[in-house]
Amino acid sequence: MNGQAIEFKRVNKWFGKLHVLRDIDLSIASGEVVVVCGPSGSGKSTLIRCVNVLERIQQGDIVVLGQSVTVPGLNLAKLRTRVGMVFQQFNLFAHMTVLQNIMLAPMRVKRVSRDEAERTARALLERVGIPHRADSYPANLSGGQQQRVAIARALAMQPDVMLFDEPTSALDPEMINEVLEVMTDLARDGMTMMCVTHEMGFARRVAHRVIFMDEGQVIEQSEPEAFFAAPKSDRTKQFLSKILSH
Amino acid sequence: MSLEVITSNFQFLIVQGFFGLGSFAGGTLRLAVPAIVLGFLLGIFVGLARLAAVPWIRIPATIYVEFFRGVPLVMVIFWMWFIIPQLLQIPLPEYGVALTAFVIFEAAYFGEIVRAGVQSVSGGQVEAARALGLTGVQSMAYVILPQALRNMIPALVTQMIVLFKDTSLASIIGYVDLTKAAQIVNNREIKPFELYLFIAVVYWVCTYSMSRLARRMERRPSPV
Repeated sequence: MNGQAIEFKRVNKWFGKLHVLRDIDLSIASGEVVVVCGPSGSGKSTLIRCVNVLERIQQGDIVVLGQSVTVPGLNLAKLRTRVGMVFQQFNLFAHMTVLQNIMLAPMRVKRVSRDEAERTARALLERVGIPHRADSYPANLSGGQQQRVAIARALAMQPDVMLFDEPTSALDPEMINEVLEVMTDLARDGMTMMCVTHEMGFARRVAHRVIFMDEGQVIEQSEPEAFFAAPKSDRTKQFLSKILSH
Repeated sequence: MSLEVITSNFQFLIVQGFFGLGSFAGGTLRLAVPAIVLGFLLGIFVGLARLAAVPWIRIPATIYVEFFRGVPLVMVIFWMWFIIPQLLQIPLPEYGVALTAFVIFEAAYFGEIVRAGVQSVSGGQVEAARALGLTGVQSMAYVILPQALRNMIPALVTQMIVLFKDTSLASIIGYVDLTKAAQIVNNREIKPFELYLFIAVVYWVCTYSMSRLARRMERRPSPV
């Protein structure tokens, strides 16, 4: 791990009157795997969406891979090519095959040749374990397969950081593991990852750090061992007792 | 009933009136095809402008749509025919007047169809495209419009059929389309039943083929 991949500096954000992020100070080192958890409405999804500027912040700054997201005239497209994102609802392009989904951005944004884009796409499909579905349309894939394609699509841009916004929340239980396995492999390969998830097993096994958020604030952060064995705040204890009890 | 009036005037009715190949500047197809194509292209701009974030693009587009949807097509044709040449101090040919009136009028309707089609594509698709580094224009071209167009097919074809039939209104300024051609023949031979039944069949065959073609397009191997 060398240097910071993402730094939040006193970040504040409001949706109208609702104060959704309050004075967030946080840094994520490159190579680090961080899990962000918390009750719904705690601002964790908003937090992750501010990193690639799908949401704009009103106060403070976020520095992503050395680039401040608040400078005027920021080249957003360039920043986003370095930050991959995986969504809860997969958001695969419905009118394109799996292969076309993965090839689109490398060809149109990075101007990679069709041959090279296809080679990369097929290699990535191999890596996420579904090379045989290259010519299928998203609607004909299971949720777990769709999410693995979405991961491959993000990886095709060779990002330095990957953001996961509740990647398994929309999946049937039996498909969660196939997605978590891909994410685990990615973490083992040294990818910098920021994951909003309730998969505490994944957090325990893979994360370097677990962050607990509530009401727009970072309440607690520590290594997974400590986080689960000895949570410091009452709110964290309460949250953990609710999601770990079943 | 005798079809003699049809067969003896077939050349005039079909070649001149329907296709527009003859000594008159006229023809249903020669008017309808460019009107549909140009009206739809202009409609794409109108529809996207209606969705623009900046008010100075969105508001004029909204006024345009609300205005032209609120006035009768015949009136737009009359303006183009009587008022515009006076303002410009130049005579305009029937074809130019009719085509311009249809394109301007129909673009308002096509614009609304395009707007609805674009809005039917889920916001997640745009976010995914933007998150991959595609620009707004690229997201529109590669991700949104292809899906939107597919969702639009039924409404689009209905509007094209309406437009196709509405070209018969061009006959009121003397444009020799199929309807006007039938009128001319009828004035001479007084066979309204045969003539107007015949052109009804021609219109119907055309519009029915359009809707059959649309159904085929909708049924194409579907990704969604």
